[in-house]
Formats: sequence, C-alpha cells, structure tokens
Amino acid sequence: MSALGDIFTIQLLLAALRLASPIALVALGETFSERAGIINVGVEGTAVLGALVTALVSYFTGNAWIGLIAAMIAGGLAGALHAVWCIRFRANHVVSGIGINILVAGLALFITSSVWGWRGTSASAPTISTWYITTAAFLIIFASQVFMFRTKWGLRLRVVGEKPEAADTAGINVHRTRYVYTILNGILCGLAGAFFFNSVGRFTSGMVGGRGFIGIAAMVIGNYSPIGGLGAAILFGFIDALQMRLQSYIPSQFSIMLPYLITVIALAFFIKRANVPAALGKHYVKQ
Amino acid sequence: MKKALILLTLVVLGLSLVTLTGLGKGKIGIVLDVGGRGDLSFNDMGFKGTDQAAKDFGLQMVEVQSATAADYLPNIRNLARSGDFDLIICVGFLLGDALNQAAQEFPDQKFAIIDSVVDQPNVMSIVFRENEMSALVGALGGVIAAYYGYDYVGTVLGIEIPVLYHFEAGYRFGIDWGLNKYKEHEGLAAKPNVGLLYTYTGTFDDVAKGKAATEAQLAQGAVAVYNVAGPLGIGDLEAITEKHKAMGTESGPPFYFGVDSDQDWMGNAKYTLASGMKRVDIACYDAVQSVVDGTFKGGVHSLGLKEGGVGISGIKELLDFMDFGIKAGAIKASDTYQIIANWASNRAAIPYWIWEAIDELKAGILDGSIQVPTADTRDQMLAVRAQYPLER
Repeated sequence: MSALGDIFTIQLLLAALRLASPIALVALGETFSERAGIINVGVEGTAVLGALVTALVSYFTGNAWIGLIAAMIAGGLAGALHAVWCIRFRANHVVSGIGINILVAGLALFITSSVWGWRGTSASAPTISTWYITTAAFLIIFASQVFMFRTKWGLRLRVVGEKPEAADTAGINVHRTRYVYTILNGILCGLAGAFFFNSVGRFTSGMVGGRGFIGIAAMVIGNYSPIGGLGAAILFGFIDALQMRLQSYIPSQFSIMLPYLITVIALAFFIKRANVPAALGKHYVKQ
Repeated sequence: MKKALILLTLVVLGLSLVTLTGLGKGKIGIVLDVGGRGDLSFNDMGFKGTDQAAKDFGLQMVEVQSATAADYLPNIRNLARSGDFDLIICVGFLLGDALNQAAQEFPDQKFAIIDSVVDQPNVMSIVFRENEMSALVGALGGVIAAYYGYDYVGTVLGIEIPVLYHFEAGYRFGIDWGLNKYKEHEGLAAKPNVGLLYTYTGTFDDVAKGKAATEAQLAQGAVAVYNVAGPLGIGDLEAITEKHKAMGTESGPPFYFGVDSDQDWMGNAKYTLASGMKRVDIACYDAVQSVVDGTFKGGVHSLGLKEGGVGISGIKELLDFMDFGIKAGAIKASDTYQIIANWASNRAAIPYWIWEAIDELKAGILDGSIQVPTADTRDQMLAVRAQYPLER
C-alpha cells in the first residue's frame, strides 16, 4: 500500500486549500448578503461573469491584474442589479437570482462567440498565480469574521437581517445596508470567478461548474459565519482533491459523487441548527 | 416599352442562370453537438474535413450548431426536410438518438454520424478504434516512465462513457507492453514497477477540474498525463507547465499527451511529446467522397490504424495542425519554428530505440500479430483492468 503514502501528502492539503478558496469566497459573500436579509442564488452566474470579464479584460489589456479588478467591478454590478430588483422593486429574491444565472449563461455564449468566434470558449489570456487570490481569500475571511462579530458595523449588519424594524428605529438605513452587502457579495463572487479563469488562463462556459451553489451550501453548513463557511469549503475541497486520487481504488461514478454527497449530508445535518436570519428573503417596507 | 422588355428578359435570364448553377451544386450539411466549434479538436476537425471535401468536390457546405440537446432533432430535420442535401453529417456521440429518429423519418436522405452507431440503412456510422492509438501512446508513456525513473503514467478522462473505455483499455495495454519492452531491452529480471493513475473527471467542459486532476497525478509522480477529455487538456497542460515552473525545468518530464487532433503544438510544444489522434477530419472527408463517388453505404465503418483513422502524431501532423492552429488564431505564425524546435528536442532527448519500439508495436497492430484489447461495457472494462492492473 505504498500508493496510499503517495496520496496523503502536503500536496493533497495544498490542493484542498486551493480548491476550497473560490467556494469560500462565494460562501463569504453570501454570508454578508444573507446576514443583511438578501438571498442571492445568482452567485453561480456572478462567478461565471467574473471569469468571463477577467478573460475579456486580461485578453485586451494584456494585464491580468486589471482583469482581476474588472471582474470584481462586474461582480459588484451584478450584485447591484440583484439588489435593485429585490429592494427597489421588491422582486422575489430567488427568482431574481435565477434570472442572473440565466442571463449570464446566455451572455457568456454571446460574448465568446462574438469576440473570439467560438461559442463558450475564449482564447488564452495572461494570468496571475491563483495563490494570490487564495491568500487574499483567507485574509479577507479572517478579517470578515472580526468585522462581523466584533465591530459595531458587523452588529448593524446582523440587526438588519434579524429585525429590520428595530434597526430602522435605531437609525440604521436598512435599504442602504442591504445594497452595500449585496454589492459586496457580487464583488466577492467576481473574485471567485477570477480565480477560475486564472487557474487555467482560458474561459470556458462550464468552468465554474456548480461551485457557486456549493458556496451557498458551505455558508449554511458554516452557520452564517465567515470562518464556518471557510471550514465547510475546505471540507468540500479536501474530499474533492481526495476523490481524484482514490479512483484507482473506488469506481469513478461513486468517487465523483462523494464531495456532493457529503455536502448534502452535512447540509441536512446542519440546516436544522443553522441560525437563519429572521428577516431573510423578506421585503422591508418602512412604516 | 422595348427597354422594359429587354430588362425583363435580362432579369429572367439572370435568375434562371442563378437557379441553374444553384441546382448544379450539391450541398453537404454538418450538424455539431453542444460542444460546438472552437475546441481545436473534435468538432473543429469534423468541420475542417467536411469543409475541405466540399471545396475539393465543388459542393456547398451548410453548418448547424446546436445550442442545447433539445435542438439536435429539429436541426437534423430542418436540413433533411429541404431535400437539398447529398449528405448530412452529424458530428458526435450525443447526436445518435436524434439521428436514429430523423433517419426513419427521411429514409431517402443519406446521413453519416461520427462516434455512434445508428442502426438504419441510410446511415453511415463511423466509429474509431481508439484503443489502437491509445496503445501507442501508452507504450510511449510506460517506457519513458521507466527510462526517467518515474513511478506512474497518468491519464485524465472525461465522463465515463463507452467511447472512453476504448482509450483506457488501449492505454493500459500499451503501458504494459512498453514496460515489458523496457525490461527486454535493458535485460532486467523483472518488469519495472510503474503504475497507472487514471481519473474520470465526470465532465467535458470544466477545465479547472482537468487541471486539479492533473495536479493530483503529478504530485503522485506521473511522468506524463494523457488527456482523454477534449477541452480539459488546456487545464492538464496548465498544471504540467506550473509543475515545470515549480521545479525550475524548461523541458523533459512530466509531459502532456494530446488527444483527438495533434495537440503537440500546445503550449509552444515545450512539454508535449505525442498525441493520440482520432482523425475525425479524414472520416468526414471520406464520407463526403463516398457520396460523390457513389460508393456510400450504410452500416458500421470502423476506422483504426490500418484505415488511417487513428494514429500517433508525427512531424507531418504537427505541421498540418499548426497550420490549423494559426488559422484559428491559437498560435502565431512567428512561433512555428520555435514549436518545431521544442518538439524535436523533446523527442530527441529520448533514446531512439524507444521510437523504434513504438514503430514495432504499430507494425504488430497493423499486421494483426498484436491484438489490442478494448471495452464497450463496464464489465469488459473491469476485465481489462484485472488483466492489466498496473498498480504499485
């Protein structure tokens, strides 16, 4: 069984951390917006948009850092769109989020085919090492943990999602708070999208592959806390990294399923204990 | 009045001329699955071969892409209904079911399909013996693993479907054959202890997954990774390039083995050694030609080494496919000499007897003295795995 010794190495751990980082970023973004009361299932599409915009901007400017910033701006805009629908027009949060996913899926095909002539794929473009994004993700997550639970701003955020009437009475601008954190969610998803692009240097429409949705699951498993979401993302990343190495021992049909299976089991187990913000998904109308 | 009459005559004459030339020119339709163009591989080759044939035989080509799986049947029907097409080629396994239905609805229409068997008299089903070229690639992988002192040979595959079993079965056989060859050549007492790492990623478009799977195999000590998932190869090669950066090497192992088209030019050929080619372009060309020659026949047409349908890449293919890459904008014409130089130096770094051994295996498959196993079902695949376990 010398082969097992080849599997459990520091490489496995590094792979787990790297696979986890985009999921953890989405989980963090979703934690912010749901703590403020806004559900955003459009995170998957927002991450695809981030990857697409990184490809576009890196390709035309030749500078991957500008691409990274553009991805965050694009993500922020998608977040703003969602916020306008949900807050200004009081749309159903889930419907608006699904709308973003569908919109981006179509946009990706349109832009790739009109810019590069290939439907769903870009040409290759300059990249930066994904370790920059992974490291930044960890720093942002730890800082967010402190921000959310140790600062007055964090307290205000949580009140808006729990009891917006009380927040309003206390002089907190509920709508503005919700706008800010929904946009922040978009920015973080855009960053996650930039990760996907930079990991291969070429956009393909399937490259996010449901990891945005896994990010939402990670947030629930992590009980709406930044560190918790990171932990759940690392669990997913670890099992995903492990299953690829275990296929010589277990059938691929089963091993590919493993990370998702464990996510579902964990979700079923943790969802009962999760402290879902009381005003989540509810529109706030000032009395 | 007179002027108007002359004008009218001219218009009628002109129109009839247009119609006549239009009628005189046959039409070829090509339907692509959701993968679509731009993969510089499977789909692009189907397009390239059909396009070339259309040009050579003076035909008009109409290309239809499918946005979703629900479009397959309507797309095929639309072409068939017009009755204008001499042949409709469906490129890809996924179009099989839709074609099966359309072929019954339009029994007089000639169809061809790549990678799938549709049991209708008016359908030419073109399948490949991918196990044969994968055996050649595997033999190369096995020998260089032993030669460079690596523990494993790797392959990253897509969704676990029967077509991919052909690749895995052939690759396994080839590695085993290569290791025996190495033992024989070096006069060793036992076969070198080299294993196979294989990962079915369950996707054909999640490039990041291909990269992660390749990283995992490289970390375990794979000398080369054979891409058996089309577009995922971009991710595979990226992982290999990063590995070289981390090791501070500019050439040598780990290598990338390309698939379907000759992908040896990818990444400026710095870390590529060979590709297992499945010549979809040649198959499409031949299908069009059979219609032109009047030799079109329904039924299964299996293309292997002997028919030139599959093979391992050489310099001729490198030049051909570089040209293909330049036209697609994937490589710059100014890089071609560098690519050829890199490619040649990678090959030259490996002792010549290894290349001779690959030729020997090729000759053996061609004359039938060497039978490469294949698998179409999971049970058959398990049998091949049991026969060539390649575990360390």
